Amino acid sequence: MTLPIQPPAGPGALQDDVNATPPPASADYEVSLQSLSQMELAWRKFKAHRLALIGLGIMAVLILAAIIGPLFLPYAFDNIPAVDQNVYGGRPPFCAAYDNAKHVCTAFGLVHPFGETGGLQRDVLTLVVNGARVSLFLGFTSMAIGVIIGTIVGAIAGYLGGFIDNLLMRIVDVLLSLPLLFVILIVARFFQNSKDNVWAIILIFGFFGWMGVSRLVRSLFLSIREREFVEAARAVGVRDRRIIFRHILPNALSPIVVAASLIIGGNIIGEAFISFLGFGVNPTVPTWGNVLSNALTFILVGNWWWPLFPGVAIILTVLAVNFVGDGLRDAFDPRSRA
Amino acid sequence: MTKYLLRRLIQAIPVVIGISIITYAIMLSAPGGPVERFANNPKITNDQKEAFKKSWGLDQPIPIQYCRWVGLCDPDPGGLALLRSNNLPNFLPTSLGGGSNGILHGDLGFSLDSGESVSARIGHAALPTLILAGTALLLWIGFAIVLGVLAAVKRYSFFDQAATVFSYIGFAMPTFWLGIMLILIFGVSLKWLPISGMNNARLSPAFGTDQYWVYFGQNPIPAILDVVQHLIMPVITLVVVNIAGDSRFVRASMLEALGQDYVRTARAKGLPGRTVTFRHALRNALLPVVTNIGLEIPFLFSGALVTESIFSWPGIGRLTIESIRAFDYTILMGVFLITALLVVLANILADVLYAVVDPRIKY
Amino acid sequence: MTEVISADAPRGAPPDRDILLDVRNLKTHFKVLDGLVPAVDGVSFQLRRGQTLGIVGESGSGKSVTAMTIMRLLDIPPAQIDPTSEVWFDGREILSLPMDQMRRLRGNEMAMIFQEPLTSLNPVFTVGDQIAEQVALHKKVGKKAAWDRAIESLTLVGIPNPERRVKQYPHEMSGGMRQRVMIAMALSCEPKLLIADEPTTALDVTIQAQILELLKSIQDRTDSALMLITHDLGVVAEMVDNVIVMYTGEIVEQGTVEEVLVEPRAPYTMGLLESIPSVEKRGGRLSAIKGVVPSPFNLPPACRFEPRCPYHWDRCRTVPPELYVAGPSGRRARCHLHSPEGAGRWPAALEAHRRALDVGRDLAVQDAPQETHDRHA
Repeated sequence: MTLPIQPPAGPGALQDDVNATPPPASADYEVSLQSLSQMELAWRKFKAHRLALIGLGIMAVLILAAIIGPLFLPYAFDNIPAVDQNVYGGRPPFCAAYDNAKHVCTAFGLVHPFGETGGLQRDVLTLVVNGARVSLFLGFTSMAIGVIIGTIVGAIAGYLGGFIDNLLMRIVDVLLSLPLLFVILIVARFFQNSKDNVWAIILIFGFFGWMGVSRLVRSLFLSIREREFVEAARAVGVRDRRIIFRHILPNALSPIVVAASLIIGGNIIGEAFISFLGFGVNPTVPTWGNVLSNALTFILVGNWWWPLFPGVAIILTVLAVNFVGDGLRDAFDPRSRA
Repeated sequence: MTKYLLRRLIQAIPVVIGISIITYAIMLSAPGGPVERFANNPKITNDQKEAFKKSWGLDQPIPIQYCRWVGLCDPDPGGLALLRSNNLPNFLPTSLGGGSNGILHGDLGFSLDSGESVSARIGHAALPTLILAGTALLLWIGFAIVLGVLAAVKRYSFFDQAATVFSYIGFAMPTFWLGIMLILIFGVSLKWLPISGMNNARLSPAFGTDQYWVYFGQNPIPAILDVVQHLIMPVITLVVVNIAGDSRFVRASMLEALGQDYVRTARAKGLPGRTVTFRHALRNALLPVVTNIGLEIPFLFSGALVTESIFSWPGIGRLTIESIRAFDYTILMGVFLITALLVVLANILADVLYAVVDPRIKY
Repeated sequence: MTEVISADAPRGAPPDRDILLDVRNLKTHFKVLDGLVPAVDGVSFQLRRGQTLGIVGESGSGKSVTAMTIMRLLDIPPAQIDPTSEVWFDGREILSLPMDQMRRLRGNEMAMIFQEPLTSLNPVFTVGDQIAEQVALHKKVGKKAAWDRAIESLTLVGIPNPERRVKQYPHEMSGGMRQRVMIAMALSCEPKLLIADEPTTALDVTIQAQILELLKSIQDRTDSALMLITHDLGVVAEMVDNVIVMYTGEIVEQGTVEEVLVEPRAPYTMGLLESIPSVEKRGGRLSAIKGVVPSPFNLPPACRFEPRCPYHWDRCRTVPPELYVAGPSGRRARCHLHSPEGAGRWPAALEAHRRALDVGRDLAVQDAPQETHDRHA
């Protein structure tokens, strides 16, 4: 026996009032959602990060300076005037004539905004800008190599697990236990005398940098793999490769991006470090580390501008990269609010 | 726990062996090798180079060289006579009573450069590095924790923002650049602090020599003050970058602990704010910090490399750099071995420490 | 960790002697990036010694924030308590107390237990440590006496082997036992008011029953007042004397448990009860309150429940309803059906509610199976 209940006539079961105005649809009170793609969401979150934008701006300026700077600077790179190079200590910024003994600038002029080096009398600004080319290129490329290799290895190990995971991670463990710095120094030493060893240094940093990333990616994959949405994807029949790239990787993006930004900074400082020791890029190609290494002996005569500006350039670059990394971390974190 | 410790220590042995094999192989299979040192010297003939190689056992295949270095294979006696006639330093140690030498017998070999015993050379360099790294470690841990905790507790205050700026800039700074700047400011311009060495050569004999210890015994206070004066800039150079990075980590860890439910419970119990922060939150916040510091100790060594070079500090770092420049493999291998051992031990220590402070971890 | 800045001196007068907790016009707002969230928007109620009050509502209704405000556990920069709000506890207004005095009350005369016992206990200290520190602080006794009291409290909550358990860490215990520990901790200083925020939500059903038993027996023994916050109507039915139903930060109904759960007067409560599945409705459709809880930034202008209410009319969209008296005992409901203007509609609404209780609302009954129990037949 069915029950003679009719569904209510419309919104509002009590229709007594003839004069009742039709009520607004409940949609008025529902929040309407406009769906954005992941990239759009990420950009929006990134924009809200003031520091990240500053970092991006600094990086843009540096990259621009590196690319077009050397073309505009009037100081020829290779002229070596006839001055006693062992004694000459260089001139401070905006100084036309310098009294070395009294450490006082006797004539000011619109020359050498970053000062002039001792010895070979190079313009520091030119050196910094040229150095930027190598250092920036090196930093980004070596990071790219390291992150790509590390992500692939880590993803395979983390996703497949089992024997392959064990094998790969034991290899990584042994490689990580090596006194990396020493090994880098030794390997770099071998390439010290070759003509164009920028790529050698890039490859060195890339190959010694992938291990940390692979560990990170592996642990990320291990934890994300257990989440329900991966199980759901598998249950529906999505293929492994697609799961890795479309489902897991976007969720792992945030920590990987942070690691990448830290690696860029680390590699730039690392390159400066080994160039400073003399094992890095060939002295004929200026890098920030090279310049600092040449400046060392001259600080005893009070030449502060020679080491200062390349150092500040390094600091600015690494800062900018770190800021951008922070911004990207929030941008790609699925849980942070847009 | 003891079982775990033993297990880790035993597992460490093959790791160290593996490391030593790999580093040895990398070093020796690189182009040139020890003969590289003579590459630019026209006075050494090819025959002499060959004799040199033979006497040092460098003409043998690498596995046999490694085997001898470890002490499992007999050193070749025939090489000794040849050596003396060429006036080249004696690499193969004179066997005492005819037995074989090698690491397993406590012999690390001799320096390719100076002929000194490797263990002696490293031994001399160890104490200065210990002083430098030890002081640096204490300051680093102390400041990082204090800065991080204060920044977390006074979140968004001026102190926090200043600390954040400091940590960002400090973290972006190359250590050696900081050293150079410090030398410029405090050594050259202001002339407040000495810029090289471990002690004032005009005051006392070189550090570490027997005469020095005699001097130390007679004038302990001025000697200590002298060393401290020389220590200030190198230590600052070593730790600033690490403090900058770690204080952010401590701050983040502390903030996370402060946001946990048990902090809410502690407040609901009526505990005063100080107790809640320093007893309940801090203990939990320090857990990841402890492991982190344990794992970062090896970086102290790499930082020491450049700091000792800039400040001419007579420690293991400077020794390493010089040895790399001179391709002095025996010393390098000695240093590597010791460092690798220390790194592995530091890892184990970090894990053990973690288990000690966190009751949830049971091995 | 921010301190609550004390409010100005209270305006009202203290309540009668036997009223332990008197909440007057409590308003707590949160300032967030997107705007101002009125988490608690004008809540008033009273609680006597020995009584149990149940606060019922969905997530986001403001029930937990009410409790946290009373305990003054909120961080004040994001949270703001309205200066006209007053909370009187044991004859004193506590929203304006300086913090150190408030801390003497907390854990001592009023205590709170939380939902998730695992994360609410500090993992690096033993259970005994955590109880003893509270006792030592408030009762000013030595370590040994505090430790003994901790063991006593564990016995009180029915934990076997308390001497052994007291030295254990939270992760070494089961969920039910941890919740007992939390209750022991809250009771260790014999508080006059115990606030329980979803104490059984994280536990298995069988353990739930035990914990509720425990709370009831403790209350009988110690004559303390209990404020039980939950979203589970079944728990409320078992445990409490009086009920407050909250929706979007406001009280929509209050009365005794029989009044509210058997004869609800507010449409929201009626909807909640209608949606409880029962054997009689077998074969029909499950009914639910249509629509969703409005976002705090987009609250309806007048009655907040109006978009989802089956009995609404145009007055509900223009005039915000007050908590009208809805019964001779003084029970109240926030609905125009109980105002003078809407009283005429009430009987029809009640009838619709009773029918819906039987068979659910919005049914498509064509495919109902043969065996249906017809109550009206």
